[in-house]
Amino acid sequence: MESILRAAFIYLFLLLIFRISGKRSLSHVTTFDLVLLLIIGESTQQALVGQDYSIVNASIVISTLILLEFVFTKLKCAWPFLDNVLESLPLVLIDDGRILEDRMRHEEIDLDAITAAARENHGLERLDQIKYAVLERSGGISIIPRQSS
Amino acid sequence: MPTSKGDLQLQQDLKFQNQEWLFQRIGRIVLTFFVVAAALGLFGSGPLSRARVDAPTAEDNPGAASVEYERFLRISVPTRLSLRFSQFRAPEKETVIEFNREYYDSVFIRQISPQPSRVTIDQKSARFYYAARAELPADRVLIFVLVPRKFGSLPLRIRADQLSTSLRLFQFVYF
Repeated sequence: MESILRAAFIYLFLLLIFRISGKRSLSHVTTFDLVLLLIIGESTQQALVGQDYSIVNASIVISTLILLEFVFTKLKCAWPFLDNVLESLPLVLIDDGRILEDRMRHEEIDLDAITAAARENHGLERLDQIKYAVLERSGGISIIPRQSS
Repeated sequence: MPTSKGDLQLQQDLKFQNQEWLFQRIGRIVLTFFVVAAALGLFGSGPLSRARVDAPTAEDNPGAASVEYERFLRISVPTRLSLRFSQFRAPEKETVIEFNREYYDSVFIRQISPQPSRVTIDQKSARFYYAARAELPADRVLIFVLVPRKFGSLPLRIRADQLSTSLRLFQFVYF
């Protein structure tokens, strides 16, 4: 029972903490972010298993986490609002060429991130070649270029 | 449900987005308080957690007694409880320290320094006996290293033959 409670608590805590940290926090992983993720993983592992390193305990923890993921996936399908709460919604950052700075400030995204996404995904050279820039639920930035006439 | 934004079809809800930003702002403030509270010892090991209880001693043996302990503990993490007497009642006689049974059952006693000559347990209490002067430390401090086994509130009542009243304290064990 203790293992199940530990796994459930850690699952919900991580869900909450990554929701608080915002969309962009882990979508663009730098070397330091990767190291940070490994440290978080290590801390989580110790809290999950406690001092019980048995295979049975590991199996219980893994099963609980997978079951919770399955249950939340089902619930998100049943209630789209829950899906929005847990996964957020896409957000337009450049609307038909118009830069929406207020939204970018809230999401802590600068123009460099948008032009970088434009370069990487479409080979665009300038900001005025972008028609739409959308911050997706995953935290990635998708770019829709202007049609060249 | 996909909605259109000009010729772009996507699900965007600015009202929801504003609520999300508000939630994130509040969440980050709560997170900051959480870390500050942890640093101060609200979850164990810090100035807010360290505590001391003093008790008067019996009339026939003046002097103070005190317990130094941690208010906030974590399950399975060892903690130290120091019981300090200004003087022992009669070092040539047996000295008895008594813990309430509920507390005794809620912790695992990893170490007692110095070791008592014997321990007895009944339905209400656990008693630690120190038979002779040689068994008692010169600085009159008994140290218990305890490992909490249950989470929640943990009331401790300590009685000793030189105390006029029992020492009462509360600890809280986090899961």
